[in-house]
Amino acid sequence: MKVAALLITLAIASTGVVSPPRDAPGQTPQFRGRTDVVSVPVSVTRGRNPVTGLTAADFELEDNGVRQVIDAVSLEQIPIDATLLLTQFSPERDREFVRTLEGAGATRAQLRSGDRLRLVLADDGVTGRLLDVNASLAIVPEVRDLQTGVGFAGGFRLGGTDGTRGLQTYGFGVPLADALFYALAWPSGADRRHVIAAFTDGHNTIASVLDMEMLPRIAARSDAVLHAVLWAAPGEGGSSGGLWRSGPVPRIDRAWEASFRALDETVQRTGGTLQRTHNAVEALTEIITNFRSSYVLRYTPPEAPKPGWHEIKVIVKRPGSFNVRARRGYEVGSSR
Amino acid sequence: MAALSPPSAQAPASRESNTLSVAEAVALYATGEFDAAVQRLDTRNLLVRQFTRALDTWIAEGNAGSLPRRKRIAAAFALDAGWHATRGFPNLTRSNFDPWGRVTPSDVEKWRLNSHWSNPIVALWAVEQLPITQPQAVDRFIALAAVGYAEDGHAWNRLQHAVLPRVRRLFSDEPRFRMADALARTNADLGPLRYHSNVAALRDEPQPGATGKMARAITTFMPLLDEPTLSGEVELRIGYLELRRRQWAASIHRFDAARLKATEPVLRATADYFAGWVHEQLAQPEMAVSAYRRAHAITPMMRNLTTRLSALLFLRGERNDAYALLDPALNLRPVPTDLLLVFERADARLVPEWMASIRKALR
Repeated sequence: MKVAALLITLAIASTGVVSPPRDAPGQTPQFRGRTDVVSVPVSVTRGRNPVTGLTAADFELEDNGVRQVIDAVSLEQIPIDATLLLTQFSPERDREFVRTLEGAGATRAQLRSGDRLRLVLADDGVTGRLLDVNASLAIVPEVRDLQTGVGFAGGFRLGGTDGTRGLQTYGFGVPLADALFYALAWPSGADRRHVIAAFTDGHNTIASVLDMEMLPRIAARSDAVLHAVLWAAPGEGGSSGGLWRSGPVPRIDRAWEASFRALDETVQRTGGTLQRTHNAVEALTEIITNFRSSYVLRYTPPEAPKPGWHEIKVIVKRPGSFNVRARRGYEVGSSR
Repeated sequence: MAALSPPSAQAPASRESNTLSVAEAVALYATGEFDAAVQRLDTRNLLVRQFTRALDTWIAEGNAGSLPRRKRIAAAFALDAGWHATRGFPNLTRSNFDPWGRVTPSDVEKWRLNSHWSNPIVALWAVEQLPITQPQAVDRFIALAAVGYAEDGHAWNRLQHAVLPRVRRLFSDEPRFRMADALARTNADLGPLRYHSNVAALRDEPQPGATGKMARAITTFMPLLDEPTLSGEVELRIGYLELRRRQWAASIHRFDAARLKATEPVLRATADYFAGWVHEQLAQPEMAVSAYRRAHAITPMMRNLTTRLSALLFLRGERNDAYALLDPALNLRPVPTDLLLVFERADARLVPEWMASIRKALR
């Protein structure tokens, strides 16, 4: 059995008490009727296939090393809130990736009635909006509307060099940390589940207001599961973060590597994955399929959670080899 | 004042029917149709040289008695039209690169009116139209607007060596020209205040030698603290320099003073924005939230400010409030000019107000 860290949370306020989200009018929480209930989405796969049919008795869950009584397991019909985060501004690979998504209508194929689709774009700034579930990314004009005056496939050039030979900037790059925060911060509602698929190369740039180092702490307070789908990684060279380079620039590469590490930690905290792929459609399909078939474990700690980080571990007790993926923990109370 | 000739009804065939040539537009401007004149001016591929030459010609077409008025109208129109032409993206969201030190005689042949690079050339041309002695009240506004327009384009070199000497001879009592001179000198010494649009970009260590330059810049600003109309802004600018050289306590002290002294809301908001960032560096998130909230109350839709405030709220568990602030600010279009850009462009923030005064006087 494979152990994975995971976690939950849900509006754990600075008081240390879980309170229901205030911004879900008309929505009735299915799992979170008690204020101190912790809910943990858990994905169980064997190979690349979801494992179904598990019950509460098949799981073992520890919160800061203390085994918990699992109240419920739901293989949910819970509606999904899917956020697609697309980073723009890279001159070539980014656009190629997006075109792949557009052409396949991958998003539309994976969502059902009752699900919600949100698109977050990170290019010169960060914008986002809910799209009709029947929409696909082929609705480029609608996407363009998000950035008045900025073509979706624009890649226009501003400024010149930043003083480093061989570097030309297209704007100031992608504010990845800002976009990830925006995606993670979406309060999708207590009766829903939120998955984020971020299509990125993992390079946060100086265009961002936030540091990537903040993201793991933000992830610890978000309900979303974040998957990063990468079409490039540090060490591969070429463009990154919307910065087009004609040759190696060590300073930029170091920044990219640091950003990438922070992204990795952020993803791990949410129970998501970091995938290196050239097949955007396949990656998106797998992410949403696995998320839809994931479990939700619910438990009520015998005492109110103490402030600080709570590490969660989940094990599947059934014989066999499983890949169990869940949040690594959750944060209670104020944190810096 | 007497109305001047209306524009020719016949626009050149090469232009769209609704657009005007420079001569037509300035003539329309002279009739008091200010908005129509600047909006209908055909700025596509319009070089500064073409623009100013056409205005020179229009001025010369009047008789000797009308010359001073035609010069004022042409100067006002040049600033008004240039301002309008440079309001679009990316000029409003970006810091243009500094032209100081790279001014060449061919600039007027190279730059288009709708580029920030044209600002110093147009500003200088405008102040050259002002009388040498006995200025009218409207001339002060033209001079102020020209300085603000030059600062909008980071034209520190021409501002210091060409524009300011002229206007300071005419208006030696104008405190804002003292401020402009200090800004021009310190920015030419320090380089651009920043290349990026958010204060977080300052998290990197200062460049070697910059700390000493910032100390010199602070010394340059200190005498301006005695000028009551400037002291709030001067406190803010000194505080920002202290921030850049990581003198956190000194910067907070200055921002507190700026908040008390400044009468312009945007300056108070900027002081609190900077103070919030310093509190973050000092691991004082609660104080940072308080400072950001004060700034946010004044300027609620600034992307950078709102993102930082929202992140801090999220981290202390106020997730719904955090998102409620963040979502509208990120999606607002057009994007408001960021506080740091407003701060960096100095008197550019006052140009619309001064242009309104000019228009009122010309009617």
